[in-house]
Amino acid sequence: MGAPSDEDLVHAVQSGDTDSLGALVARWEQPLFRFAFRLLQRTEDARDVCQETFLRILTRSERFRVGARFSTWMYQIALNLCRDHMRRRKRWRLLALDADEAAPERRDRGRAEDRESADPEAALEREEHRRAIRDALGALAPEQREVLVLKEYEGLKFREIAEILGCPESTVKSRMYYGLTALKSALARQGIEAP
Amino acid sequence: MACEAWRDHLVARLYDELDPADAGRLAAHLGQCAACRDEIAQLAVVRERLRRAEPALPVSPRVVLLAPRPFRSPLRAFAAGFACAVIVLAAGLSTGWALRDRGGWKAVSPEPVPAALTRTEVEGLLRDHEATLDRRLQTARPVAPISAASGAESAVTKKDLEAAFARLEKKIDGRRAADVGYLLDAISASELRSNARIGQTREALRYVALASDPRISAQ
Repeated sequence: MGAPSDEDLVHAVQSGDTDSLGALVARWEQPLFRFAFRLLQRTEDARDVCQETFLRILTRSERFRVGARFSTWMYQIALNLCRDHMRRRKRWRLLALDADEAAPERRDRGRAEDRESADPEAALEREEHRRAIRDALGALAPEQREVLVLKEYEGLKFREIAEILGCPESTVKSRMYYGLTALKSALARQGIEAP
Repeated sequence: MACEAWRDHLVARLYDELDPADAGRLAAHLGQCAACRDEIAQLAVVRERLRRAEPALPVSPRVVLLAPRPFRSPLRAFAAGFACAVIVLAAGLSTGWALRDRGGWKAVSPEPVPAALTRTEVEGLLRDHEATLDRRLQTARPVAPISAASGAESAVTKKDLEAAFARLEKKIDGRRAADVGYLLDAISASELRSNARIGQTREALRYVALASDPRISAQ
């Protein structure tokens, strides 16, 4: 007998089995944390969102509809919490990629990787590249960034993103298109043309 | 710039989500539209840039669930305070009214200091107290021990005691969770004021909160 599905585990949580929540946490804490971190860019905030999401799954499990996908429901909760965080802290400018002031641990790790690299010029170029991408993402409209993170980094289908955001699939594709073209223009302005 | 009618299809193809029928139509369009060909090639380059620029993410911390803190809105706090003030005012007014009916406040003259008692008077007072105590002891009803109280209407059973202890424990847990919630709020406020994070303290409090909530499980 295989492992129970996410949906089976939520139904078990609904009937009071908190151990099933533990299984869901074990499965999803890493992807959920990464998702929140890419949107919020702060470890503390991402952890808060992660914890609050699981707490809501526990306390509002009765709202999970039969036939729905657990991951879609979970991302909906997490996305709303991220939006709340960003509204409160007005930190939309920080997103998705390396942020010097917000993630010293990652910056240090990146620098360690660069030190290991034999070519310091290449390391510098890589760092500038990251910064350029980060700035370009920071300039995107929030709804374009959400779609981009969900698609590019979480690897969700357009249909799933549409369900999470509560909008038509064509709207998701449109946001994606405009997000990518805005990134393309921003990178061109910074003199980055080809990979 | 790509043709507006084909943008969704371009994006879908970029992520391999185009169904076969649309894929055929798009391929036919791309065969004759240089702008769309150019656009999809450039978007692919942007995707590649995003992929290459992704740095390592921080290690995900273990998830510890916090008990939700009771929400206290300023309006509700004001309403509660106002209600208390009204009750206190009403009690004061009614007391004053009752005293007025009995003649109002009167100045009380200081009582004269009693003279020292003689030995005989003290012994008499002690005898009176002893007699009073004796009478009360004679009329007192002994309390039945718990073990012998089975079947009695007012008996305290082991189940009652367990339930009482459970209620007490829940009350203490609730109070502890509220205290931790208050501390977390205070820390958050400090963080916002000082724009600095007090990460280790918050982490410690999370574990305290974990210990005080029976619904919590740590993974």
